[in-house]
Amino acid sequence: MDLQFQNNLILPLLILIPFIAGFLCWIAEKVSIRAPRWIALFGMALTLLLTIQLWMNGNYSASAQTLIQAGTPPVWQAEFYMPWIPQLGISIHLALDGLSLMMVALTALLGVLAVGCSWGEIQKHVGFFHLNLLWSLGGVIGVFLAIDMFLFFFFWEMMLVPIYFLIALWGHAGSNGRSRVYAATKFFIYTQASGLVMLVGILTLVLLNYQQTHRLSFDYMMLLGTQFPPGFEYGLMLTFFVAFAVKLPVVPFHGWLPDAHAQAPTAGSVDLAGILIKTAAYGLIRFVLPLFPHASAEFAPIAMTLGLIGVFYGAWVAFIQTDIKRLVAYTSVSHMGFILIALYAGNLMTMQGLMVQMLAHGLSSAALFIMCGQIYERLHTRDLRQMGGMWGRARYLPVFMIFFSAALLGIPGTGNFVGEFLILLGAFGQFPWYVVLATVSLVLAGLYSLYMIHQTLFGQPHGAEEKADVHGDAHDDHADTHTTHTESHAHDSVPKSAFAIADLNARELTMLITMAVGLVWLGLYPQTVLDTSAQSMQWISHAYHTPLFPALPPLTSGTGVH
Amino acid sequence: MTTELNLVSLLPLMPVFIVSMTSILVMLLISIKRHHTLSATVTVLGLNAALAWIIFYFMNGSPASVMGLFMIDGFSLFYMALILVAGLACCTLSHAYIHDYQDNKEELYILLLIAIAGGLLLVSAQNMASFFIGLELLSVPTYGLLAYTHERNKSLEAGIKYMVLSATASASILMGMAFLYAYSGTLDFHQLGVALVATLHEPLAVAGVGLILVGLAFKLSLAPFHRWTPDVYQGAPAPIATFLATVSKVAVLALTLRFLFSSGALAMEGVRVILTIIAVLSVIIGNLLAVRQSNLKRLLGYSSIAHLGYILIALVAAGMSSLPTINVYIVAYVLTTIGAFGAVALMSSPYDGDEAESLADYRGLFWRRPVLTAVLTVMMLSLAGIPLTAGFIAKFFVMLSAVTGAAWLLLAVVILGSAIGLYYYLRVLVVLYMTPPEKKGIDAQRNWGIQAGGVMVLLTSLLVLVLGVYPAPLIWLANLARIVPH
Repeated sequence: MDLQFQNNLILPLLILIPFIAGFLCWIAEKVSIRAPRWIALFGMALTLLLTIQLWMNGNYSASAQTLIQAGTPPVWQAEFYMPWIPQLGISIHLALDGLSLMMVALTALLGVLAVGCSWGEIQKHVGFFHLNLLWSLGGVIGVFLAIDMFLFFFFWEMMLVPIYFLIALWGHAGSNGRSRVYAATKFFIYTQASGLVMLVGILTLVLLNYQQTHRLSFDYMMLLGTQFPPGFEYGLMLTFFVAFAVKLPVVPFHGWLPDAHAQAPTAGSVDLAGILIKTAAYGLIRFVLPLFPHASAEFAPIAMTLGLIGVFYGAWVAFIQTDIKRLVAYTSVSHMGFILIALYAGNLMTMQGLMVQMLAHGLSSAALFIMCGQIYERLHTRDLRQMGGMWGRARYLPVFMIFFSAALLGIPGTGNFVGEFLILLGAFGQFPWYVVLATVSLVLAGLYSLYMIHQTLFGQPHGAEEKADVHGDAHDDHADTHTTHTESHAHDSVPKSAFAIADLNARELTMLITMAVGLVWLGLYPQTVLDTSAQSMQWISHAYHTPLFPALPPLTSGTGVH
Repeated sequence: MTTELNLVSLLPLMPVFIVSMTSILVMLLISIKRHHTLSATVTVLGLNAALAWIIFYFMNGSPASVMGLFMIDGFSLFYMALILVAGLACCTLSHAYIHDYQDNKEELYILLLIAIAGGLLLVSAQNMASFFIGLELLSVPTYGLLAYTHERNKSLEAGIKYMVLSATASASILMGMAFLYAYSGTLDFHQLGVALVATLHEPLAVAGVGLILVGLAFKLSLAPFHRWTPDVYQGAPAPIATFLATVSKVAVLALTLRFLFSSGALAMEGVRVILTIIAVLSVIIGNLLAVRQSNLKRLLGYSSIAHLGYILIALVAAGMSSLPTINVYIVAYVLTTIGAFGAVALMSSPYDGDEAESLADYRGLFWRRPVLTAVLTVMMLSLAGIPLTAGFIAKFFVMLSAVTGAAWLLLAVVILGSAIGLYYYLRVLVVLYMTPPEKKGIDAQRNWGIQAGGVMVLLTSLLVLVLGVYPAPLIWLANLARIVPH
């Protein structure tokens, strides 16, 4: 393949830094227990800085103004190409456009926060924990950057292992008595098996392309516009869809999600909800729509119906949960339903809404999971029935709780509102009934958000919490006997009243403020994001509605890498 | 074919001579003075010499047929090298394992060398006669090897069990050969192929091929002829289990491939059906039975059934063109098996009553032996076919072959099999990282990492990782390893 672009070394660095830093964490554990935390923080911060640097150097907002002609190949802001397995036409081909840039930025940001929120929570095997955390992040970044299908699959499968370990080794026992190993194994098998189905799809696609072009290649740019024998396009689209639907999750495939979320450590939940399920949405946007435009259009009503079911099902099941982490987990199902609707409506406005919604959901659900972790550190329960009355007993914690719950329900001024609004508005023209029904679900969103706020913050403190107060050195006379396993979090701050709980410390405050600022920014001035992703989304929307290559691609366009 | 015996025409079989001579040399050394490390060193040197010769021949030589009995082509060189590498691994593992054994330990190497020589003959056999000689030369010393630490009752049991069943399989193969000879009047694979292709459905021929396949399936421990596998794997001393799982299987698999490809038996509808059934059963049964195992050696035994099933799936789906896939798969399988069994062998000794085989023995190993655990982790992930390991590339190739052959049902079996497989590999993995038990259990020697066996296992896991990330050289080699007809 002729290189018509400068290899941008920052792209492989974005993937390598988390891997190397993770490995260093493991080694550094022998030196000091604090060393892995700092190395991990430094590694993720460096990744974030590099991403911002890419953003600054890229020409996103200018290119957003130029309209994309139908039938042109996608335009990348940065690319990296290196042969890998030449016999099979597999290469290490990384590419970045506005869409992947935003996703990588979200990953790096949430990565920093994930390291931050495990600062106090993880006390055993710190080095190995950060190895797994950073490797999973590196894998996710790989998924967002790879445009060689083999490489994409490689990262897609690879990131499961560290997440498996995060849940299985540092997770919590489930409220329903199931072990964390069970949850982790379930997650792994669900995603791996569905991934193999996608591999069948990828291989078939590659071989079909080979029959047409006589060039064996796993490159996305080469595979675009492959023509399909009758029936094949739909089948292949389904194999991809299944893999992404499991990870997203779309409702009949969501079995792994509540268990995995509820039992993962906080950083694991942040990872899962904030980033991991976005890989599925990303996969649908990047691969399914442009590669199988006709079949996707045909499939759209089914997918949107599934999305709609997910919106209602997730919201309703969230409402009846008693475990706060399961509640937040199910809200993800609901929001991903919106994503699915936006995706298959597929016009520019819904796609842009989708972009904002993904970022906003990443931030707000990650924030809520972090807050769940903080509440758990203070109250030692995740059971909503045993919470309550936190309002007034801490200064900052309830405020943030209310803010992020409100963000989740999509209150104006937060990114979630902008995202949902754009999606509903954009889809209304084509699919009015879906939109009307989806809008009704916002009531349910209000329901579960208010339920969560009410259960945690208001009312009277419940039994378990009084016990927790004892732990939280409220009753000093009892505290001595109970401090053994609560020392790590009991002394974060001095209690303000007899019933006060330890308020957020500086580290926790910084994390939450970062996310709150992000959400408000998305809510008030989403233009930053919209500009960045405009070009990518425009291209994908074009590729979906007016398929790129209606005819057999001429052989000369095979080298079409720009 | 006229055959003239002169030294030059025998030259391509040099590796076999080297290995045989080494075994005689070791025997003489033992009769002069028993010295364990010396015997082991001579053995390793001999195997390395044979390996060096193969590499030399691979660079400079051309395919050659020896007396019409043996074919030395890219395919047999590839598999010979693989057998020698696996044999070397077994020797180093045996050295560490048997070192504290009180009884005679040097004879183990003689048996190993003879069996390896048998394996080398088997992979180049292209005639029923050389096929059978090679097979028996490989099998008979294996009985002795399995029962070598006969103080452990299980070891003795494994040896006898394998002997009885293996003899039955050999008998079945002989019967099949007799049928085929009666039908075609030739023992040569290729000429047999000419006769077979002429009439594909002759009952005598189908019965003959079928009987041979049954015998081979037994040796490869494919379902439904797999029942001996877990018992024998569990009973065998860990290095010998490694031998059985690698050298023995590689040799028999290579022979099977050559037999099927050059005799054209794959063209027979009945044979394809039989192979498909065997493949599907192996994947499903192997994986399902492994799920309930809490004994690591038995688990690895069952998983090897499944892995050979995947190989067969590639074979039936893509026919002749599956050869590179199978080559890649078998290399990944051999490396992974050596690593996994190697770690078990390093944890075990012949006198600990039971070997370190119960999963409970491995609980929390990570916090005591992080590097050894990393090795086992890599191996389990490779067996499960997770990226960054050679196993992933191998599984990828199997799926590529199946897609090429448009065998959608077989693909579904592969996916189902690996989903089940994942469950028990993960179970092993997570045990390794759990909180260690209070009571100190079986453990590896303190300095395992700098001993020959340890270094070998570390190298193997490194190789598994390297091939997982950069498989291009392996694929290049696998493409060169072609079967040359006459």
